[in-house]
Amino acid sequence: MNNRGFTLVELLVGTVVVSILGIALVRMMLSDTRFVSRQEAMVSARQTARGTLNAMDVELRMISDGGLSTARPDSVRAHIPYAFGVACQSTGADRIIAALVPPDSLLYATAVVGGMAHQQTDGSYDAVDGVSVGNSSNFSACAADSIFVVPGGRLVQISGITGPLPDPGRILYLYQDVTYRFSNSTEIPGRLALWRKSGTAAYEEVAAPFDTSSGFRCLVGTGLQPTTCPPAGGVDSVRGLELRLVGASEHAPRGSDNPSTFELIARLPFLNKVN
Amino acid sequence: MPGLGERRGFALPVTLFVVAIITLMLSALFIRVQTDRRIADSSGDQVSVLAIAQSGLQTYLGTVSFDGCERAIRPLDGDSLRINVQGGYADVVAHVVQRPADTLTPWMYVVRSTGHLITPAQGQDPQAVRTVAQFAHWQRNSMNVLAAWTAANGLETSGWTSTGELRGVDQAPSGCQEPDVYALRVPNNWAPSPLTYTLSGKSPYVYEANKKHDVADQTMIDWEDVTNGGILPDYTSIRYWDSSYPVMLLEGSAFLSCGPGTTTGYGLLIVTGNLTISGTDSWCFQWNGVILVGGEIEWDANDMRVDGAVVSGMKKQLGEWADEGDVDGNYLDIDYDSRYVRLALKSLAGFAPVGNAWVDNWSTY
Repeated sequence: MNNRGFTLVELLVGTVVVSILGIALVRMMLSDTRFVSRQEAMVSARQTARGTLNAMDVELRMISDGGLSTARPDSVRAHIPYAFGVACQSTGADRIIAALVPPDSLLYATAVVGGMAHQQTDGSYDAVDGVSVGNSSNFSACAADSIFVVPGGRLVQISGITGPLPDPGRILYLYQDVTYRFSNSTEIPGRLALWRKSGTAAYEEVAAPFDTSSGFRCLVGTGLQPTTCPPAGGVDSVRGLELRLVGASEHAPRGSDNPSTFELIARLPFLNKVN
Repeated sequence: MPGLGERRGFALPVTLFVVAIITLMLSALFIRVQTDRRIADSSGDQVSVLAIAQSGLQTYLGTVSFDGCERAIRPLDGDSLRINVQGGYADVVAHVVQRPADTLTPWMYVVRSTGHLITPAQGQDPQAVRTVAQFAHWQRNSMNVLAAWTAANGLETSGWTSTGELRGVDQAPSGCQEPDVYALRVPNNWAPSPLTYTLSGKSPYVYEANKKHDVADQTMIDWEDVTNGGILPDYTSIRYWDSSYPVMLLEGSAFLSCGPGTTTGYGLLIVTGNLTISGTDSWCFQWNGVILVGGEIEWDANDMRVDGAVVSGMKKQLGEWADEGDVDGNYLDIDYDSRYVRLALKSLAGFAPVGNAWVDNWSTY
């Protein structure tokens, strides 16, 4: 066996070769780490935007005339229907019986009653804030006008109605007074979050983080042209909302100074508004 | 040669370590990308299934069938239908919400449609389900026919030289007939005298009563709605020989010149102003359906016949002026025929969605 050891030249060549291989390996690992980091950041941003859109879509499409209370670039407040039905006869000066079509049980159970809106002859709705809703078994108030409770529906008494009572047979809905607002996050300090509030309840953080370019635009005119909220014609001229949901990653991916973002723009027309 | 355990160095452990680390990182990324893809698919599925539910709803609302007498068949309470559409199917159920005692007031329904998104590669279980609903009125293809000719604008009371027939006895085929109506319905003191026409129908054949706007109201036609876009016409000009019984809405006054031969029209003819019919041929003008006029009708042709019903002077319902009418032509024959009335109103039958009453929070279980 030859035990003579390495020569200086062999050692230098070996060191150079190992160095080259090591540098290549480190570069490959760094590159791969950055790739994974970027992808994770993008996935995170997309999930924030898409999840938020899925949650807001159902609520905002049902807005009717007079349903949009305020609209700003960073917030909207609206009457969001949570149960539709038909008015039956009155049971007092400020109360009626109503037959509701089957509402979503969870939504109905957790809804904070904001008021009732009843349809006028021109198809628009008159909103009455501050009503109370309770279960009823007064089927005769509906039967008198040949109004039926459809299977799975509910019979309720709506009281505290100010102004004229809706005529029997008029379509009505119960609504929540919901506010969506982009504001500073408490979950991720220093970042922007979307908040939701129903009635007088406290704001709840829906999703975060968002890029500061997120916000709302108002859709006006027959062509649903996007414009800055509130539009010149006031909130009553708004026919829909453009949601600009720019989801962001919680952290900047490796190799980048800024968080990744994913821009999701969705236009939601109000399907219960007189055109 | 030394065995594997006798080899010294660190290349193999380092390589295994690096490969393991990279594999773990890529696996984690793959899982996240898969999750992201599922969320993206879910968003897409929600859009697709909404389209399926809406498509089913619109298809159901737009479908109407008729019996042998051309009466629209009203769906029963709880009527259900599975409608296959591209990408899945929709289960549609219609429930009666209100059944007015007044037979002319439309019934109110709520029609709900549950869309099911099917991806064949994923099996028969729906990938997404969504329910939407729409309140809708059921409209019959009928109208409150008071007489073969209802002239809410009144008629000239003297100077009539024409002859003809006004028949209030329903001329529809046996088994499809409705109760007889008056031959002529006019406001009080607005009937021609003498009237040398052959009259038949409900007694008295010429019924004079009420004021002009009362007669217009009794037709139960919402003239304001008709003239303000409540009816979507097939044509905005007169179309002869179209036996599909279209709806024609003519804004302002209209002048129809008939002949040579018999000029025949079908369907619902609505004229918001005055209608003038002129021509000299024998049996010059024939209309099968309903003629609905806001002002007066000037029957100036030599020989004019209508099978169905005629209503004039509907502007009186809005308090507007309408001249009294008369017949300057030689011969006028108006026969009440409920089948032609139904055919003329056929395209108006079925579900009419109540505006702004779309529901997206129907119970899903």
